[in-house]
Order: sequence, then structure tokens, then C-alpha cells
Amino acid sequence: MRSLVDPIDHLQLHSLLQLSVAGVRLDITQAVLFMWIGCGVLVTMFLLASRQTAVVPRGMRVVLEVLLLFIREDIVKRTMGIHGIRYFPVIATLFFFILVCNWVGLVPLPRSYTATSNISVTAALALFVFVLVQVEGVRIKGIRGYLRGFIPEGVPSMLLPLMVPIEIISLVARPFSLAIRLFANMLAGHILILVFIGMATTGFWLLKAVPLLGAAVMSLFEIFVGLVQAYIFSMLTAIYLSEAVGES
Amino acid sequence: MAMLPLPLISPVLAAGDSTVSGQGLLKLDVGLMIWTWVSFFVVLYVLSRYAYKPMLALVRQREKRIQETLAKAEDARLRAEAVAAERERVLKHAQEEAQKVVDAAREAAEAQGRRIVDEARQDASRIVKHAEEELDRQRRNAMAELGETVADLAVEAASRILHHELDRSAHRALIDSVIEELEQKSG
Repeated sequence: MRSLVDPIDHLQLHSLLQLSVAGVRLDITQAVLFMWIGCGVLVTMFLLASRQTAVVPRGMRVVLEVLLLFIREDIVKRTMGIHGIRYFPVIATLFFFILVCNWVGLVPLPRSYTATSNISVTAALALFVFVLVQVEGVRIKGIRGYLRGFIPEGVPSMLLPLMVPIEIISLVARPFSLAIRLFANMLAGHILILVFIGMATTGFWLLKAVPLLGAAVMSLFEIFVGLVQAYIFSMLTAIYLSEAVGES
Repeated sequence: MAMLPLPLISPVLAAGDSTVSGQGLLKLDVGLMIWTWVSFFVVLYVLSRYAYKPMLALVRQREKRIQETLAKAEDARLRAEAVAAERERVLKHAQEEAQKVVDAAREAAEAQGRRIVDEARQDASRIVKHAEEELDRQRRNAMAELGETVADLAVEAASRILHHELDRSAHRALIDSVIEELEQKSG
């Protein structure tokens, strides 16, 4: 019996509205739509929470404050020290943006889609982090200090022709690792959920219970994975920024 | 077509027009990347300006208030400890004062008691002495009266026995001298 759910098809982008600006296609796909839904939910939650003026927080503000303070204290300050606080908005927004994109795809809505399971989304974020780190490195250290970062301390000059390319490759590999880690984790989890659901649509009715249970368990696990991946992405961003500007 | 158990499946069935192969998953979509940047920067701007600042300001205000409250509580605790120590000191001082008063009262009472006993003893001895003197005086008076009576009786008896009228004053002197001798002998 053929499965009624094709996981790969589900993960393909479908144009909901075709747009083109200066020859560049800016189609509104389900990835864009669910990214906007996630952003809308995120902004709404924060704006509602920030309206509270009571000293003692309540409701969603408690959760958001806990996460904000966690990012400020355990990611930004612990990695970059007190001077890294100027990067807090960027790192916090990366965390929450990735988190809502990871989670919004788990909500069973029509054409539900996890934006971070698309390599274009994660690559865009990784590229932004890469550019930010290089720009801040040059801005804080100057061009000479920035370039000196490619020469590891204590390395004999004979090894420099080998070490400098390795450092450059290591630097360039970072956005790839950032993008592929997030993309692969979210994609794998969602494919697994879709495979379980596909299995549940075929076969004898008694056998449907096991894959449905698997899909439910995987969905719960994906909530955790989504949180962990958002943390890893923002933590690595903080570490890269710390390395780029820390020794100034 | 059978109903599927999760709503997640229904849009998949609706989107049955897709035939893209799995290799397309790694293809970069510039349009999606641009939308990602735009969405991210809009969220970054809105949250930085309208959410993070007021929320963290309120957190700082709360932290400050908590610190102030803790400082006040610490101050109140120190003051309470000082008051308790002062109270202990005053109580101890009062106890010491009370003890002193009690001791002084006890000493005064004991001294007064001793004085009263001494006075009583002195009074008693004086009374006894006075009684002894009085007794002695009474005894002497009695002896004197007795001597006179004896003398009179003796004279009367002698005069009756002898039937002889004697010179009463001469006998009287003789008898008095005898009585004096007797008194000297007796005491």
C-alpha cells in the first residue's frame, strides 16, 4: 500500500505568491509564511510582555524573562564578559528567531513548515553571523589586528604557510558548520516525524498505533531539539564574536 | 479517502503537486535568504527597541528594589539585634540592681534583726538586773521588817516572860545591834 504522506514532498517549497524584484525571485513560500507566523508570534509575545509594568512578572513574561536573563548571563556575559553586552540584542534575537522557527513547524497547521529545516534560512543566518563577526573583528581590532588573528601565537615561521591557510579554512568552515548543523538537525527530526506519520497511514489499523506513538514521541523530542539547536547557534555566535573582539 | 489522525497530514495531501527530488533540499534559494534577512532584521529592530530595553529595565529596577529590600531587611535585622542586645543589657542591669537591692535589704534586715535581738537581750538583762535589785531590795526590806518584828516580839516576849519592866529604848538598842550582827553574818 502506498503511503499517503511523502516526507520529501512535504519539505519542498511551494510558491504561495510569486514576487520578483530586480530579477530576483522573492516568492512567498510556506517557509516564508511560517517564518513570518513565528516572527509574529514572537514579536506579539514580547510586546505584550513588555507592556507589563508590575515589578513582579506574571504569565508569559516570566518565561521570556528567564530566557532573556539566561541568554544575557549564561551565553553573552559568560562567553564575552561584561563588554559583550552590546551584542546581547543580536544574540538574543538569533536565539528567539531560531527557536520560534524550529517550534512553529511542529504546530499542526495547514502547510505547516519548519523554516530552519531549509538550508537557505540557516545559511542566511550563518552568513549574517559570519559577516558580523568579521566586521566587528576589523572594527575593534583594526585590519592589522584582524589579520594577525590568522597567525597562531608561538608557531614557527616555517609553519606559517601551512597554518595560515588552515586558519582561513577553519574560519570559512564556521558558517557552513553553523548552517548545516541547524538545517540537518531540524530536517532529520521532521523527516522522521513525517515517516512515522506516513507509516501510520498505511497497513492494518492495529499497526498504526506504533508509528503514531513514535511520531508523538519524536514531536516531543523535537521540542527539546529545537531549544538545544537555538542555544547552540546563539552560543557559537557568542563564542565567535568573543574570539573576534575579545583580545582587543 | 480515510481521515488521517493528525492535522499535520492534511496539508501534505493538499500539496500533492510537488515532484522535486531530494537533491533540491540542499539548493540555496536567494529569495528565501533575503526574506530571512529581512525578517530577522525587522524582528531584531522591533525587539531591541520595544521589548528588550523595557523588559531589562524592569528587571534592573526589580533587582535594585530587591537589593534595597535586602539592605533594609539587613539593616532592620542589625537594629533588632542591637535592640535585643540593649534589652538584654538593661535586663541584666535591672537584675543586678534588683539583686543589689535584695542583698541590701537582706543585710539591713539582718542588721536590724541583730540589733533588735541585742536590744532585746540588753532589755532582758536590764530587766533581770532590775528585778534582781528589786528583789534584793524587797528582801532587805523584808529582813528589816522581819528584824523589827522579831525584835518587837522578842522584847514583848521577854518582857512578858520576865515580868519585868525594862528600859524600852535601851533594850531596843541592844536588840538592833544584835539584828545588825545577824544581818552582817547572813549577808
